[in-house]
Amino acid sequence: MTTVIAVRSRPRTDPGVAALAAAAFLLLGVFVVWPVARVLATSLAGADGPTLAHYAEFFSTWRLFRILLQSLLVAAVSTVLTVLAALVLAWAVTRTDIPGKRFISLMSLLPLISPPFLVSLAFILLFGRNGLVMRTLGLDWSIYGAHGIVITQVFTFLPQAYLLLANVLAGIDAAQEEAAESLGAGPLTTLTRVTLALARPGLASAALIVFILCLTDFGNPILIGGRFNVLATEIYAQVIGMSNFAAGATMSVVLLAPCLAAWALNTWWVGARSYATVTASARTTVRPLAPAARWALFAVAGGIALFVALVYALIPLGSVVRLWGSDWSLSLHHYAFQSAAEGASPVWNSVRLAAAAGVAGTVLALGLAYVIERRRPPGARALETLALLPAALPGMVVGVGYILAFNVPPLALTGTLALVAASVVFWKLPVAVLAAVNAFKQIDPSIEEAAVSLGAGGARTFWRVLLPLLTGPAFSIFVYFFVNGMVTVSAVIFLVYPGFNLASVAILSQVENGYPGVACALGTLILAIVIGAVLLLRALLGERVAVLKL
Amino acid sequence: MRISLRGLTKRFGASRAVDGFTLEVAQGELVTLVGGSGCGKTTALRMIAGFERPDAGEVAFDGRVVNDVPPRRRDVGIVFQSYALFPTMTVADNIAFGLRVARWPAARRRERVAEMVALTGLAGLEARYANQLSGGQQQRVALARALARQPGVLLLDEPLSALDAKIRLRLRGELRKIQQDLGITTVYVTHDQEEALSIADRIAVMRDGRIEQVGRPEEVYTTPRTGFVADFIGVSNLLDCRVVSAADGTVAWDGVRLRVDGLGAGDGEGVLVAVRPEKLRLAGEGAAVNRLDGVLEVLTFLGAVVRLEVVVQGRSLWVDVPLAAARGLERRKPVALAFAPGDCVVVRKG
Ligand SMILES: Nc1ncnc2c1ncn2[C@@H]1O[C@H](COP(=O)(O)OP(=O)(O)OP(=O)(O)O)[C@@H](O)[C@H]1O
Ligand SMILES: [Mg+2]
Repeated sequence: MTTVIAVRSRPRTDPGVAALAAAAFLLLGVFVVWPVARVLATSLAGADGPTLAHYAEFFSTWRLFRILLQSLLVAAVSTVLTVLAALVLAWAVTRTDIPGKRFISLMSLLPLISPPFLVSLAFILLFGRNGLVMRTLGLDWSIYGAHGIVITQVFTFLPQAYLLLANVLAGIDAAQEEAAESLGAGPLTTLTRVTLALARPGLASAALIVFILCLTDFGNPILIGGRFNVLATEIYAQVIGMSNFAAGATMSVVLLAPCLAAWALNTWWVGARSYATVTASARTTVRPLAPAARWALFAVAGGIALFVALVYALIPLGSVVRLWGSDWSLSLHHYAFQSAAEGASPVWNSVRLAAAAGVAGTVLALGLAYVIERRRPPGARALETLALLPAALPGMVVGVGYILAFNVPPLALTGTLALVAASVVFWKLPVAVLAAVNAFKQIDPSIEEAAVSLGAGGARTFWRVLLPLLTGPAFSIFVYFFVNGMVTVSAVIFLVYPGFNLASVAILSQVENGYPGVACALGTLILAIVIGAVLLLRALLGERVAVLKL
Repeated sequence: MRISLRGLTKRFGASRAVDGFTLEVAQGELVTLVGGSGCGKTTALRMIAGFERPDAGEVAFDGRVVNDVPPRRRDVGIVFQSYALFPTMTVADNIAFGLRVARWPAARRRERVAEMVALTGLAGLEARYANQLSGGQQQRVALARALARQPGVLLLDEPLSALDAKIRLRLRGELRKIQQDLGITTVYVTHDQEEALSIADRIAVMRDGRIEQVGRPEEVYTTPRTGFVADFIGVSNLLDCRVVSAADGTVAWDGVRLRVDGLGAGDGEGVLVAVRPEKLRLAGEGAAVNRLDGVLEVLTFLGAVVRLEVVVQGRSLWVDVPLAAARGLERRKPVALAFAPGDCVVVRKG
């Protein structure tokens, strides 16, 4: 299939579009730029005027500076392992003939639609103090610490890397490899000189994205880090534990810097280096492997997939076992939520948040994409950059920024569902906008021009002609925001308020308070709702609803 | 190197992409495989290269069966339809890739690359990347890369199909010259019958995974053995006839008696009489052998000739006449056609 990318001259900006663009700038300014600016300002605020004192303190306090080094180190190790595992899985699924590919692919994607720390919860059930493995084998070993963070992050962020690499590898023309082979190259030379050389930009991209995710991850470190602190957990401790906003803001900026750098590198440097396909017709065929290699690869890829399946089977299991580690009888009493003052309401709150974020996010993403891709008013590029910028923002920075920006007039919005939803929508906007822009690019501009030439106005063309063509992407984007509303934790943990807790946040506190069974029950409900929603929409709309990455 | 293909068969699921394919290609010969889309040309070529395993039959090089030899040890150079140049490497590195793999010393490698660059007319482009080249230049790089290791066999899969008409003609000539200078045994896949005829020592017409006819280009053009070949190679009017008398070469086409030479069928059998458009001529008044009366429907100007569509007995026939002869012809007016008994080919039905 070829994509028609027609570049039309920029139409004259009509007043309606100008108003739309202005509204978009205003929204992004208030909900993206302003919070970040508040974080920056707070980190620089001193008793008498701007000061670098908070930074000086951070970098001169060994305890704090060490946390930065630890964070970077753990993120780097997690990134390397995640990308390697994803590469093996993606290669196995896209380029070889091993059995069980559907299962491997499905399991590689499952963590995508679950709260990012369920893996940690499962590991606690297996290797924690009352863990299944520890109890059975009578081991004296602790999962808590840096190694725990690394292992859980690998499984948590596998899907993002897998999706990216599977796409890249599937796009490599098999004729490239066959050409190398016919020129005498053996399997290893072909793999390294041709296949991986072509995948290099994709690998770099995957590594940078996973690095940001690992560095900013909050759920896994807080659950399984034990006494090993990373920046994300330290920011939380400073802001929520000690109400030290200056220190929290300073660390947020310190955390933001490497993320921005990685993001910029990925956007401009790697992006410019991807190999445009020079082939007329890319054809991918799976290559039959030598039996030994085939089974070895199957063992590795299948093993990883099976382990993911096990992790996700443990959550529902943990929710129906009376007391994990000592009383293995089955019971549904965790679902009564007696340990939690708010009962089951966080689950209901999560659904409300997810639905709100889903609707608002879809409208915003499609609107932005329409303005950016189709109408291109002056400043469209800036609008696009602003919309994509949140991809570089750690959830902690968004959370802290939202408190700082919206706790005080004129925009005193904290304590409202709307603000929590806004944090999800704007933080998760980039992927949705990219998907929406792509969707618009797939639609030949002549279709719109035909409608206009038949006398339809801008609004009518949008509603009657464009929108019907966009149902598939629109629902994919809705699912994306809905899922994120259900599972996100790192930004919203700062924004939940008395009487409004979320299921994902409640899971964390239940584990902290020693009720893993209740945490599992909440996790099971989240998984059931998310999977149910995806399946329902798929059943209604068919394959057009895709699961977006990130 | 001599290529022998014996009974090659390849199945994909239930369908046979290639079915009992048998062909000899002599040392230094260029054979074109031509046929419609999906007839199995690429699959046959990929079996010679070793990318597909035949389900039955043999591939032999110089009499040695190579079915179990992997592609990288087959001593075969391939030019892919998409060229498959390595976008991560320069032109020079693309050409040198096979030499590197074979561990040629650097000095010899450079020398060889320079030779190939000169041979294919790529001088000055050595440091470019594939996406900085035109289609024709990419095609030359692909050829240079395939030939650098001096393989015994050259395989080309529609090497010119991604190019526009002018450059296609030029490269076709260059390709043929290089192939003849090097004396390399070549199998050339194309779906363009004109290309197949013009470049080949011999041409093999394929249909549904089988070879329909093999022969020198003139031979296949002038004496097609089946209706399919007659129609696929060039254009033919195929007249569905019944033999009236084998003895004096009379057949009947919808009641019209025709005289044909070289009738190899018995009385009452069905045959196809193939007449090329240029062999049909306009008949004047009065009787003529093989006279066909019809109505002129369409005139198409093709340059030096005019192609007429004449409806005879409810069927359209193509007739090519010189520009001068077409003067005065009008649509919807009756015309008479004729052809000499020796100017047609009688082929089996099917
Ligand atoms: N890997 C495959 N799996 C299944 N069927 C295949 C495969 N490769 C080819 N075929 C089928 O085998 C038949 C022959 O294909 P092949 O590519 O050899 O045709 P071709 O003559 O090269 O056609 P074209 O002129 O369109 O390139 C086709 O029907 C095709 O669909
Ligand atoms: Mg083909």
